[in-house]
Amino acid sequence: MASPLVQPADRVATRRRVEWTVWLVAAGLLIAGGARHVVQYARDMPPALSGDRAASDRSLTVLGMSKPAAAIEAALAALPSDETLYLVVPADNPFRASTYFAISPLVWPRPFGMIGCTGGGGAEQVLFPVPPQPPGSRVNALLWNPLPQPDAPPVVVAPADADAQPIGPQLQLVTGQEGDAWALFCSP
Amino acid sequence: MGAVLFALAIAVAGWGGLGVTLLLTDRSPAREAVGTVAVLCLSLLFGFALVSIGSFGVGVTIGITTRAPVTLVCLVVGAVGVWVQRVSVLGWLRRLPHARPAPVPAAVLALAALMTAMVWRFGTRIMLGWDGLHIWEHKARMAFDNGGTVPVAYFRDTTRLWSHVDYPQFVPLTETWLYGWLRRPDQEALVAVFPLFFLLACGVLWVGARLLGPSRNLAPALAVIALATVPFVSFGEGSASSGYADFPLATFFLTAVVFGLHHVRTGSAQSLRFAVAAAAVLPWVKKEGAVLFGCFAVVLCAALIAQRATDTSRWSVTWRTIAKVAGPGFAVFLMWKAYLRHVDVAPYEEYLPVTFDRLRDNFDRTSVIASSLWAETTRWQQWSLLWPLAVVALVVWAVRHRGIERVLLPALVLAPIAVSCTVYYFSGWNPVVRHIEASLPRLLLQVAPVAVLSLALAVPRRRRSLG
Repeated sequence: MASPLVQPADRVATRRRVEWTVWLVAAGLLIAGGARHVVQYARDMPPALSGDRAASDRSLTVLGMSKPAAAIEAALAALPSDETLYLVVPADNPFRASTYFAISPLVWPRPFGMIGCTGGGGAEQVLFPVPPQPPGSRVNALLWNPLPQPDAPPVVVAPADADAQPIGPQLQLVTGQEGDAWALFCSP
Repeated sequence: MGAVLFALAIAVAGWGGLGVTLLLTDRSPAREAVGTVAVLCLSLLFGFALVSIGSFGVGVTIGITTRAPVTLVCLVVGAVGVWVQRVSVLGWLRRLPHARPAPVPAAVLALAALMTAMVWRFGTRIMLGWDGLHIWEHKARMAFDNGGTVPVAYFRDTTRLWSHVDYPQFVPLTETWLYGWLRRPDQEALVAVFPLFFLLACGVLWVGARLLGPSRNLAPALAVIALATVPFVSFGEGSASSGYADFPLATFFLTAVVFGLHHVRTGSAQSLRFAVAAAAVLPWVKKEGAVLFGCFAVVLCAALIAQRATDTSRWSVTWRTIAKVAGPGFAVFLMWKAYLRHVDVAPYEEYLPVTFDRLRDNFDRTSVIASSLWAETTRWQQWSLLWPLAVVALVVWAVRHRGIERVLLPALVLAPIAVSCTVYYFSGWNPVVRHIEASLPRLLLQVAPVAVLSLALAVPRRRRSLG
């Protein structure tokens, strides 16, 4: 007499078929659903970048230069490695933080901070501070002034007597200021 | 020339990793075959680990340029491994000319290579995401300029705390190794490294699905395809093409899980060694690797202790099991913590102190965490149907298996997700939802290949098994 636990062969086969169908449909849905998005991305993706500084250059495109990473490094080459450097930007610039992070590796090992200038008589804000430096140590600044509006005065300015060196259309390096001179770069 | 040097850097690392793999392989005459795909994948994974840990060790202890000594270490370890396993290696080499690739594995290999090329192509568009550029490449460049190790001054630089100075250095020192061979920092070359981890994950997935599942070809092949078509694996910030550490971490975790499960099922000593070695690398890849390692070690130890409790319940056996499974990874974790203490790393508090009071105060975050997890796992354009199907697959696994194996795979998928979500109770971000949105997709990615494996293992058996 057959055991009640033993299922007829055709029922077992049918169960197997159902299990396989469910599994294959699930796998197919997973693959098809995902592939649709991958293909969509492949179709819409931006053009390829190349070059040994391609990633850094891409993250600095807002500076409006063709090879910003190499240009900044070249401009800073003569700067002593223990001198403080500030990035000075208009405080309302939405790209200020991402640009600061992108420039930071290029200026290593110098202590690197960021100052935001509010403009219109507002005070400057220390957005990323640098620890206190020994008295008399020199402070340098990368002034980033996005192309000004036609009728608006620039928010970030280099003092008339400063040693300013242009790096790009919006960026200049001011070297050799003493103490808290960075405050001078924000126009009153 | 650059491509040749790049290939040479990978080959030297792989040779060192081959030595590690062969040294971990059984030497007894009755040894089990490891398989060519497994050896290749393990060799590259352990090779990258050897190169990065070796660079760190040489740089810290001797303080000289690391590339030459680490190259020597790789060559010696590779040679020792091959010598120790010379009988097996010679046998494999003798069989090689007569080997005829089976059609399905050959097709899957071709497909995996094609998809790896696709991931690389995506990478050339993304050209390193946020972490890839600002966290990892930043460190790699500094290490390259400093002879192969990250300078001590960096750990104390309070103006660069935002770049997570305390993160472990698997990724940056592997990148520095490549820079060393190329003789210059090259971000375009780095983009080609991360798709390699995708290829390795495909290989380990193939090996795992064949080792642990009832299907020899269909399920492993579909698992490899499924991995590539999970959109977040291929593109986006955190994906295998973006230069983040999360996908390499996922690959090591997958390797640990595959061989850990195999050990629990078969008692294979070499599988346990592979699993423990892969798990030991987790805390070296990323901070979150410590969570994955902790979950893996606790779950595997519990399984082994429960499994052996019927044979012997002596405490010495229990402690030996814990030391064997958790010891190497814990040693790596402690090594990095000790080094950070030694260099007096600048404090950067991203998390609040872990106390019961803090948990009680932040318990109202539960709904935010739960709704974010639900929203993330049901983002079809990011994950396709991976997570709902993985839950079903884990239930199928639990129903099909008996004893401790029943809970093992579900625990290895769900425990890391649960622990990672618990961490948000102690997040210092305000509002916490920003922290969750920034990191939860990547935390899920770290477990995603194991979730894909669970789908492959849910394949129905071909015929009714006897008994």
